[in-house]
Amino acid sequence: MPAPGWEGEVPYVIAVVQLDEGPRMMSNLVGVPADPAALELDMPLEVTFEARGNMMLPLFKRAGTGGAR
Amino acid sequence: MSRMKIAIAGAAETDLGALPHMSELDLRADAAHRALADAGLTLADVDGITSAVESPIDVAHYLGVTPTWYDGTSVGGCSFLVHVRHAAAAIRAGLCSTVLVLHGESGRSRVGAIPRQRPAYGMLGQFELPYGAFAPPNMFTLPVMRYLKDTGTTHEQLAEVVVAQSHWAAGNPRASRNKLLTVQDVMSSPLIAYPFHKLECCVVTDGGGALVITSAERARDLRTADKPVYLLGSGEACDSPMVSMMNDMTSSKGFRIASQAAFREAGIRHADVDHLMIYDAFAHLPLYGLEDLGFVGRGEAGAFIQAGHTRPGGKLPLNTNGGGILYTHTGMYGMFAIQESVRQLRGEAYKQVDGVKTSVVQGVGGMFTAAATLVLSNQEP
Repeated sequence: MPAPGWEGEVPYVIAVVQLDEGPRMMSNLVGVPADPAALELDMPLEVTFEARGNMMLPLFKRAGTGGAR
Repeated sequence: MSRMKIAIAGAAETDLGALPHMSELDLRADAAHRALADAGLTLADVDGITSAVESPIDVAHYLGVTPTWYDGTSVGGCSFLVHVRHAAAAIRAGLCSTVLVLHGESGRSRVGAIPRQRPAYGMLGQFELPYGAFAPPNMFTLPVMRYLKDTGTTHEQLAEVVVAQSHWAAGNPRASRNKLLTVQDVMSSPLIAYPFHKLECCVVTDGGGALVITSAERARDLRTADKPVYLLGSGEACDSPMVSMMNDMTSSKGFRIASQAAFREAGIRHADVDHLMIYDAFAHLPLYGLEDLGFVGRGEAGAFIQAGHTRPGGKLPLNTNGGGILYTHTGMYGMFAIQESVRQLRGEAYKQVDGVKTSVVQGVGGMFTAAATLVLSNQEP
């Protein structure tokens, strides 16, 4: 179920990411299929910054999968 | 000096479903008149009024009432449980004598509905909305992946929550979804936000309900004197305003704190509870509720429901109107959970449980953000 402005993005992956530094944050997983089979809990991630509108957002991809999308 | 006893002396629901001819104020007014008629009272008897989202003063003005006490606490779907608790405190404090707790919401038709704002400067606007987390189906459901993994609860057990409730809603003409369901029915309905299927999400309806709260002493002189419902205890609590910042994704801090306060005030134990309502906007909430209220141990709720204990004839009848998933859900369902408890305690429910003396209502507001609990009984405390 998409948020307004997200209709073309379905399905997308919302995740709560635990940072090594301590805090937890909501984000999106990118560079992975939006398929539950590919989205195991607790998989190691790394940050990637992506422009969305006039914002740069910290998103996450599977660790070790190369540069930003 | 013994403490003043509080009663629910009037209770009623409006028509439910799709009601495009009624605005939210109309629904509230209709609910108010029905609940007052149930108690044998009129608007002239009302000196306290509550409302969530819409200002209680707007509602009072529309009804032609000038209350000397009002409460506009608006913390989502459990607001009405909080209102009952606050009304009891106000009556005991002598601030008012007869309180209308009012709900009316055009959740489906959106007639006269106040838009929910998610401004960019708010916490949700800053930290959740940018990631496409916008509506309850993809926010409220987020913690369940962690819950399923940590407790070993299965997707089939999540579906069983709905199946069990369908045994209560089956055949009820007032329930939006009133057919008996199987796990296969639930799991083959369209996926809304993984892992939730359409039948694991609440219906979206128009409707309203109202309660008349007064002292037990005054309730004895009213029309419902022969079917009393007493408030034995209550609690209110909160967790994070953002679901991603919940204290623990697998347990509701609000459920734990509010229910413990309510049980303590009522002086009851779990074995005393004959009937239970747990606010179910989505199918995982009864699982969290059974565990966080302490009816079962950690990770045991799925198996408990699967074993049939919450179905008709089971040892812990749960969500006996079919819940928000099957009966009705206007957006703020808490009023309807209270109404079903009142019906069960009066012996007036569509699927009546034998010998109900004590009923517990657990409400939630926002995405686990707020919580409130009521302990109700037909036995005078």
